[in-house]
Amino acid sequence: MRFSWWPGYLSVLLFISWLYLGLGHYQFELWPSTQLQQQIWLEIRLPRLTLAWLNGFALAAAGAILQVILRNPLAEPGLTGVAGGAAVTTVMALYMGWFGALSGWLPLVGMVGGALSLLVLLVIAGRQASGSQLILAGVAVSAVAGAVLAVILNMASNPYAFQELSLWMMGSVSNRGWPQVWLIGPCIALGGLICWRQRGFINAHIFDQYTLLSLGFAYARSMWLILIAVTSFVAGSVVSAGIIGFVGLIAPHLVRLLGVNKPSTLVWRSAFCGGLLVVVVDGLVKWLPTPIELHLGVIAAVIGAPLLIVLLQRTGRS
Amino acid sequence: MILQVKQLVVAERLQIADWSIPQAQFIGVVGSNGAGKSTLLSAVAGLVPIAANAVHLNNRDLAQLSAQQRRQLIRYLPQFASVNAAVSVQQVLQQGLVNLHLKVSVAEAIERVSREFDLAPLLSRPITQLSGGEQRRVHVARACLGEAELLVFDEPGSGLDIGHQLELMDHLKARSEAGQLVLAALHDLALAAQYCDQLLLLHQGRLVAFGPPNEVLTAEHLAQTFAVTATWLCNDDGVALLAQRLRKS
Repeated sequence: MRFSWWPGYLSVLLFISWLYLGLGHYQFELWPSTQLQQQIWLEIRLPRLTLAWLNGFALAAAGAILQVILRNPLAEPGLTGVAGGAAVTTVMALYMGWFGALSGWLPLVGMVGGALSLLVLLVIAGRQASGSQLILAGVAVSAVAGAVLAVILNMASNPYAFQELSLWMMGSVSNRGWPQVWLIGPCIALGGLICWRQRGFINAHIFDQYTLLSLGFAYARSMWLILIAVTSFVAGSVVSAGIIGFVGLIAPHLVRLLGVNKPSTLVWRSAFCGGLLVVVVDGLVKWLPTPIELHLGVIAAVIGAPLLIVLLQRTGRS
Repeated sequence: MILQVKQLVVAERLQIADWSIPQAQFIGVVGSNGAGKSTLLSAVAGLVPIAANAVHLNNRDLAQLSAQQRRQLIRYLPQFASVNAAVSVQQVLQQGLVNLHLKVSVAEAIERVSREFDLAPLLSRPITQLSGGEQRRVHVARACLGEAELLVFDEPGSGLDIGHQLELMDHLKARSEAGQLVLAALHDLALAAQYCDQLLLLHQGRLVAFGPPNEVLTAEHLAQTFAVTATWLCNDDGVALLAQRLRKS
């Protein structure tokens, strides 16, 4: 039986969204019957749901693009250090007081950091890096990003800076609203537009590098545009929700399990699948009866890290 | 001149002072490992940066052409062509048409190469599940899609059985007779001698000889470039080469 993607996806998303919106602390509401409940649904839960979905969309799209262009199934914004790079420049801008937490410039600042990290990664690992080379280079880039963050925090005048940053680094969409949605929205629009325009170039990555070079693409220009798209997705996510790892790794692999292999289709379906995934994980964050609400990034890591081990084992074997 | 090469220098690996091909034909590029065959082909295909006026194709300076313009004129098949996703052969061929301005429909272009390379039974199968030889045939077919003035193939027959190698050489010969210039790096000197109109012999990045096979594959050249002595067996059915390694004195 042929799986019909869009109707199926929309049905599942609507159902999950309804469960998510109805899910409160230790209770579930089928529908917002009182004015207070309506306010909670529309002003607290709906922006959180939207932000979670957009973050998943952005991270999964970035992960799928990185996997396609680096021809490496282990590439992911967190593991490659792109998210770390975006975090460094964002934190720098925040703690140096260059911009406010909701400034429209913040995604651009994050993009610069993410792009620098990706360039360093490409220089260290090379374009045809093996899985282990990529992970090692990613670890190195992340370590540098971590060290720079530590220096910035050490120098910050705010005594609570470290605690604030630690919480932010764990990644979360709670206590956020429509302003954060407006931060990530334009980033996704920019990244999505570039991906759509460059879909031919993305698709051509099924071929080896020499064949790709002979197919008539302005290679350097297209690669730069893809770089901007990836960093735009990641920066949007980092400035709106902090660092959420592994979504960019898990979503493309789930979509491949559904039999999707054409690169541009993989990117789009991974993005939509990633959105759903983060909504489900954030639903878990709300639903799990823990004394303190866990961070979204923590749960994503708990689910994603074992999967990385499995993938590493498989990549090693092949 | 259909192809004219003047003062072509690629890093330290290749240096060709003057070489030209007056008409469409089947040219074999031969030489020992590391002689510069792949470097020459990638330079002619526009994959590596070259100086202005170093390579002209039908009076067009390749260095001045955009990637899109080169795409319409030249098809390139690398030595180690591969597809890294489990997409169908049909999808590989469709993707192989990217950026091409076709005179026929996509379906017709694919139908033509499928017929030419006997790919119809493989079209719906994932390319990653095919044997190495079958995959090579798909890559050759991909590189033959549409109309081009120049076909640049780096060891097109590698991984093919003898039957498919001969079939491939027949196809390339037919294409050269139909007006396409075919430039192919070949390791099998007997096949090169049997099918190619002219051979280009490279050694250590330099052009040693260019001309008809009997003038290029001389005992002296074979000793100089491959360090072998050779006996040629020729009849109407084909050419065979019996080679023996030269002993160092």
